[in-house]
Amino acid sequence: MSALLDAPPYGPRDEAALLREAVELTRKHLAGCRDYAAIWPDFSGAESLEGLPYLHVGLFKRIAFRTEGVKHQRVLLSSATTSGTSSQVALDEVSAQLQAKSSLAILKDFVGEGKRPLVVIDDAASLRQRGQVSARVAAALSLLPLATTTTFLLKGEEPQWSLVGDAVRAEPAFFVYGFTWALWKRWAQGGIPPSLKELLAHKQIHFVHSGGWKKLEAEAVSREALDGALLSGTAAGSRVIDFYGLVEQNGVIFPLCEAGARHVPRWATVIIRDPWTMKPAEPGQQGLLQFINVLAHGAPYHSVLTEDLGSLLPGPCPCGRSGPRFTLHGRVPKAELRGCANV
Amino acid sequence: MSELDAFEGPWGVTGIASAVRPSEVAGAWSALREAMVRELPDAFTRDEWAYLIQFLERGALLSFVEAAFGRFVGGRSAGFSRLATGRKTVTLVLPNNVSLLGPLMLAVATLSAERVFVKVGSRGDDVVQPFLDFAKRHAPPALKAVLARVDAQRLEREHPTLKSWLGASDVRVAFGSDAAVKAVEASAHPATSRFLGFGDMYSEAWLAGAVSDDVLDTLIKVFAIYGQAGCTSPRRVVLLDGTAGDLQPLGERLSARWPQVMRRQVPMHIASQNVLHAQVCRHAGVEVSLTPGHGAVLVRAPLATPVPSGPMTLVLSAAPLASAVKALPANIQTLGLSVGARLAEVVAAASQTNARRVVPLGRMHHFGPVWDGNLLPAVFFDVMECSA
Repeated sequence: MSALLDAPPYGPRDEAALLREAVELTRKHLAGCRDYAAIWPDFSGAESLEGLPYLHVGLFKRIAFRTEGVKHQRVLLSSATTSGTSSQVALDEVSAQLQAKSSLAILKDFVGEGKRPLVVIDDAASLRQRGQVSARVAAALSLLPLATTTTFLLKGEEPQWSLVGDAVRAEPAFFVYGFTWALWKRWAQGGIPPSLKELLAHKQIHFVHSGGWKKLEAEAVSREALDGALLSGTAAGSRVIDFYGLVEQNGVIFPLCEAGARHVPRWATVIIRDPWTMKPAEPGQQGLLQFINVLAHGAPYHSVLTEDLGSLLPGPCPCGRSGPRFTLHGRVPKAELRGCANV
Repeated sequence: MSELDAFEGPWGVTGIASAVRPSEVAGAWSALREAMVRELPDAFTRDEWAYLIQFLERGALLSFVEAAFGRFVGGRSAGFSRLATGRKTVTLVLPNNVSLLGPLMLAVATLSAERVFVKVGSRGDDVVQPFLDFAKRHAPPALKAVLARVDAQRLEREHPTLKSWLGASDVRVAFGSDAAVKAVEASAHPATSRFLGFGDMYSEAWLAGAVSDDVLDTLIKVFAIYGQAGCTSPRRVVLLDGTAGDLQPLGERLSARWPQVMRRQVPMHIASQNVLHAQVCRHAGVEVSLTPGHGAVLVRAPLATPVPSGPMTLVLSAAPLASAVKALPANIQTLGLSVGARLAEVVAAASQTNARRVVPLGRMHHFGPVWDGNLLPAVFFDVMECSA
């Protein structure tokens, strides 16, 4: 277990310890995962985090990496969006504990310690998949330690508004979690009954969402529009927290802070790489995001080069959190290569 | 008989007895070139646009008719041994990511057809619509009349409009995956309708003897424009009678020349995908390197080793000629050659394969009247013997 998780996520950083643990983890995966060793056969060590091997995020759609010597429990699947293929990440007991501890620490930093009811914009049936867990469910599960009760809004496609009313009636505050588009479609535009609306007007709600903006951008829904629609008719102190995370970096989430930045906890780091050279970029320069953490023991997803664009922000953050922070600029823009074969 | 476009070959003079006169259409397209040299639409690269300008030259377009009927000899009203009539209605079914083949085939179809329907890709950027938009904006009067005969629409493959086009077409031309081409072919059509299907095809480049920098530059150009997405792009380079040891220096020379030949950075997603595919190839156990700027993935592998395909992955192999011939897949389309003094021997060997085109390396993408084993005018025209 990493000692780095024993301190608050955005406190003073121990970069030497992070490097030491990341190198150790890399060696462990190289020794225990033949698929990984085939890709990085010559790694002997790194003097900086930038020198660590990485796996391109697309590999997780092609190769089911597994490192020997740990007890694998289930497979985490990303939502298969554009390509129709899911990323597969093998989860194990040790990593699951570390990841739960990590996401809880990060979430607490943003929503506080207080436990309250959790409403999930999903169907409970989505939890019942043997041996597999979807990104959506994994994100919802990360809030469970902060939940006194959990209520699923949907049964199939039907919203069960009465269940929500029952769950939150006696509570001054509660959480609502959903994928970004689900929160918009099912809650903001979901036709909340007037009686429940009246009840919600007296509740402090923390809306937590993840999963990206692609679908909402397609419908020309801005962050302001989503936040405005969610917070309208709620009690003072209600908030919307948009977090970014990857299935391939399970446990490390990046909520948007009050100053519009995404902070990296002390057990992880972010490197921005120039896509044409893979050289680390300067602060402010846009590039591909690479994330490194020390939580992934079941497979080598501890260092992942993404197809998301971002840039490092210089100087201290007005929100008061320390450590590296970045702005997310979205996915790498794509266009098909011209050819003859894709009707 | 009024004056017809006349073409003279060894069998005599063929008159084009259609409502559409190829010489007038070719002239109309040719007149557009004046505007084309002044403006490059965003959808095209400079090289693509230059090729299109060259292609639309009157004589170059007429060569498509000449390939079947002989040399163009102007207008005549008598003395024909044959009369050719353009098939009236043509439907082109083009993929989303269609290469220049789209605009080129469109221009060729207008030489003979009274009505040309074009199914443009239903998503993504394509080059046909921007080309038509440009042509409409700058069309001289004669070309306006040609373009009035063209109906291009973004449609899904199952769209009723496409079905009705195909159901009324005398010629159906489809580019795409094998499955897509088969689906178009199977769509209801007139009993006498002709079909040209261009499905999944594969191309290779064969090099022999001393490989000069010029040859490498040509190879880089023909590969980099479409990568593996183009049916005429070389997916593999075979160094004939070379050894595995020759491949590393060949790869190093290609890498060194790549940024000099391809001066523009590849788009960011291509660079990223190439990093991915290099890792995929390493995982597969083949030797791999990325060119500077991540413009391409160069893989060194024996002919028999399966190499994971990537959009910009070029495989380098060394093999004796006989092995190279044996390893060609059934869907081999174009062999691009730079084999020096061994040309006759290599062409003789290639003639025993399924290859549809055996051309100099630099002409791998050149579109001509003989395409994929078909003499195009023979598809677009009906011919009547009138020697009596």
